[in-house]
This record gives sequence, structure tokens and C-alpha cells, in this order.
Amino acid sequence: MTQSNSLRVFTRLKTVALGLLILAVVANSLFPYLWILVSSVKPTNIMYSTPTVWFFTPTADHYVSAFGDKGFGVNFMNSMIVSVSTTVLTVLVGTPAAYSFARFRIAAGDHIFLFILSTRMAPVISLAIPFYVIYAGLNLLNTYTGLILAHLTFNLSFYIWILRGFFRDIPAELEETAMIDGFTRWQAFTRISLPLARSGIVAAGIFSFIFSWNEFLYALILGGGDVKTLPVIIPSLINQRGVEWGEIAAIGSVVILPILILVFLVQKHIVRGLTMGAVKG
Amino acid sequence: MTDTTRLEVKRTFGTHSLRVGYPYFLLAPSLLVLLFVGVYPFVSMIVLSFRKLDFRRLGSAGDFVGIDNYRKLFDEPVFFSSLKTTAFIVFTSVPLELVLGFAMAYLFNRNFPLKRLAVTITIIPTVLAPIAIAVMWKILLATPWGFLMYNVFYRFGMFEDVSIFGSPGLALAAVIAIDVWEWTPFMFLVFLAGFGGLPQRPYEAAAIDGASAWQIFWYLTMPLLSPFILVMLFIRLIDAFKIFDTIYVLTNGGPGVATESISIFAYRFTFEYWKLGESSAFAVVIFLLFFSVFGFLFIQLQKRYRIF
Repeated sequence: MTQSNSLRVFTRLKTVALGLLILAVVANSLFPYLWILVSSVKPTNIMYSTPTVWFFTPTADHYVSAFGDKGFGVNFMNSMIVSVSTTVLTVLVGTPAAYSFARFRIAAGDHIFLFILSTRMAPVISLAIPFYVIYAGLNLLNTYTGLILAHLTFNLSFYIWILRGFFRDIPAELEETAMIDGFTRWQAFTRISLPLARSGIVAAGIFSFIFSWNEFLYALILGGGDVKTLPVIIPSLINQRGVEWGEIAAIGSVVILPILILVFLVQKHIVRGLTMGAVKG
Repeated sequence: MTDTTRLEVKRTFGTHSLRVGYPYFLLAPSLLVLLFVGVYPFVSMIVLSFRKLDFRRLGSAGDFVGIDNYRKLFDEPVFFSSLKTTAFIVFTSVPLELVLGFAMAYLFNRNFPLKRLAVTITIIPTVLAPIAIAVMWKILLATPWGFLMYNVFYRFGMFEDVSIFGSPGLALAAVIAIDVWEWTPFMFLVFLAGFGGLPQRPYEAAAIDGASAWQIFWYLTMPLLSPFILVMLFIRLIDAFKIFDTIYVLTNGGPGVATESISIFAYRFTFEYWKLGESSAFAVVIFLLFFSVFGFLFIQLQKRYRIF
């Protein structure tokens, strides 16, 4: 009797301990990005106070001064233009390629595929240096076109890899049946496989947007003065004298907020997205 | 699996010879783009590495100088120190991430309320911009008002008379710690997926045979998880090797060259000292290094598991 009682107490204690541990793990991930959001609405006069001020009336001052007065709204637009264009191009160009890889025997297909993977994995700095020289010759430095093309190196290859997996999950028999019923090859693709792959296309597209939005090194090297993206302006603000941490927190928050929303849209496919489709999760 | 999902081109296209090109027609736009953004820079990098480049006349190819650029690169002491620093970062952070990620996944591998939300919140650091992550940690570690600095470290009497980003050892430790914070959730996520896919049968058999917990872990769980571990190592080793963004904001390679990774060094070398010719040689060397590791791991992975 007493033994089963103590056993029950022990199991309950264990449950509580495990719950606390899980909470600690979640908090450890959550706190830093929560804190930058908090800092971005913290009035300047208590920003640097010690001890830390916990309760205050949030202010939009940092956002107004960063994106209005100092004109970083332009950089936000630059980031949007580059990420959205890269994503749209990736989806348009990459979808047929992914389908082709999934459905057909391609001559030297494995080698082409490996080449595509390697453009994704290659060290950015190694490519950025020759890009810089090539772009200087083609007058592509400091242009949207140049940066968007550079972002395709990692995004197009990523997209094709991921989407091939999604297309492979759709049974080829569905298309075969449709073709027996008189569909052309092209119709089988656009009317059968494409709609079925929609959730995969959306997920892979969102990932492409995220990667382009977060990208820093190409933007830093190839972006120049006119197409500076949001991440690129942050280091220059940190390294100057009289750092305005409130404003930097506001810019950092704008960099992370779209991702915080998008990640919930792709959570079902996130394992696949982060492992290049190797793990289906 | 792979073969049954592919249609035979011949069978579905009949004999109409024009249509045999169809798969390639679908592929062509992507390949053209990737040839321009992948192959062209790669080839020009190799060509440039043997030429003397003037950054004021970038359009024109410089004079052929043989292996001069390579020789100059190997005369640069920071080149070797950056290799060492990168190796140190990679081989401390990645194993830490693997072990911590495993522990976290083990902890999460049970049912509890709001599990899905908890998992998503936990993995978010992995998809955030590294630049924003560096800002977060700058704000947490600011002297003396940073949240972590004031409320945790000072309370325990740590870092009161040393600055974290001002002393070489601490700066490197901070870079590694932040990398671990950023990427452990990735390992966690893949392990969690791995746990979810473990078959039940072998465990029942092991229980009947009276295997100890350690034996089950070592002879059953680990072999079953090994493809997942290889995938994670493959992806993370490659990424960690290229580490740039966070270091650029946190320390810009300093103090001195304490946190100067290969990518940081290559960047400064090229765009602060404007040694473009040498830096192309550098890019080639990084590429070779990279692909020897990458290729080896990839071939191992494909040969054993055909994962990709």
C-alpha cells in the first residue's frame, strides 16, 4: 500500500520535473527572440537601466525613427523586392525542373542533380568573389537583377531538390490513367500533378523566401549603396559610435517578424525543408 | 521506390521523336540559370586565380602571373590561423549540437499538451536570420545593461572586469555558444523525426530478450538513427565551415584574429585589403577544401543509405 503510494508520488514528481525541463528548453529558444521584440518597443530612457525594467508602456518610437526619419523603409522595400522576385523566379523556373527529375530518366541525371546540390552547398564567399568581378564587367553590381540572380544559386537548387521529393510522393499511375483518358503529357502535369503538389510548392516557395530574406553575404558584397537589404544595414549601425540599440532592435525585429509568421505556415514540412528533403518527418 | 515512381520515357512518349526532348525542355531553364550562376563564376574564379587583377579595372582580365597568387596566399599567416579557427569552431560546436539536440529530442519524445507549438517555438532560432541572431545576443550580452549580463552573469560575479567580445578566448567561446544556440534545435528536430520513425518490433524483441537500457540504446537505437545522424552531420559540417554572418556582427573576426573564420578572412582580404587576385586563389582553395570534405561525406551517405 505505502509502496504504491510512494510510487505514485514518484511518477508525479517525474512528470513535473519533465514538464519543467521541457519548459526550460522552450524558454531557452524563445527568450532571445522575444527579448529583441521587447527591446524594440522599450522607451530609450529605460532601455539601459539596471536593474532591468520589466513593466513599461510600449512605444513605437524606435520603429518611427528607424523606418521613417532615417529612411530604412527603403531597405525594407529592397529586401522585399529581392526576396519576392527570387521566390517567384524560383517557383516558375524550378517547378518544371523538379517535376522532370521526379518523373523521367534524365541522361546523367544523378550527376546533374549532384551539380545542383553543390551549387546550394558551395561556400558563398567562394562564389561571391568571382561574382563581384563578373558583375563589375556586366554593370550588375548594385542592381536588383544582380542580387536576385545571385540568390538563385542557393534557392533554385534548394527548391528543385525539395520539390522533386514532393512530386515523387504523387503516384505516377494517376498521370498514366489520365493520359489513357486522353490527357496530353502537358495536361497530365498541369492538371494532375501540379494541383496535387500545391502544398509542397507553397512550402518550398516559403522556404525560398525565408532563405533570400535572411541572406547576408551576397547582399553585403553585391548589393552596394542602392540595393542594401535590411540585414546589410545592421552591422554598419552597430559599429558606429553612439549605438541606438532601440533602433537596431526595431530593425532586427522587422527582419525576424515575417519569419515568425511564415514558420507556422510551413511547420508541417519543416524537417524536410531543413534537411534538403533527406528526412521526411 | 525511385524506379517505380519514374515513368519510362519510351513507354509514355511512343515513337514520336520530338517529344523525347520533353523532360529536357522542362529542365532547360533551370539548368541555364544554374550554369550562369553556378558554373560561370566557378570557371572565372579559376581563371582569375592565375591573373593579376586591378580592382580599378575589373572588367578587363589582368596579366597571367602563374601561381603567384597562390604563393602569396600561403605566405599569409592569417590564412592558416583562420583555417585553425574554423576547424576549432566546427569541431566544438557541431558535436555539442548533436549531443544537446539528442538530449532535447529524447526529452520531447513523449506526449504532452501543446507539443506541436512547443516544438515550433523551439526550432525557430534555426530559421531566423543569423544577422538578427547576432543582434539579439549583442543586446543580451551588452555591458552593463544587457539582460543576461546584468541578471545572470554579474549576479554570479562573472565577466565583471573582462569584456566578452574583448578577450580572445571568451569571444571565440561566445561565437561557439551562439552557434550552438542557433543550430541545436536543428539537430533536435531531425532526432525527433528519427525517434518518431523508429519501428516498434525490435524493441519488443529486445525487451523479451532482457536487454539492458544501455544495450538497447547502443545496439538498437543508435544504428537505427545513424542515417539521420549522418544527414545532420553532413548539413551542419558544411554550414559551420562557412560561418560568416554571426561573426561579422559579433566580433568581425576580432579581437585580433581570434574569431576570424575562413569566410571572414576571405572577405576582409578581398574587400578590405582589395587583394582580388589572391582572393580568387583563396576562393579556389576554399572550394577544393570544401569539396574534398563534402564529396567524401556525400558519397558515404549515398553509398550506405541512398538518402538524397
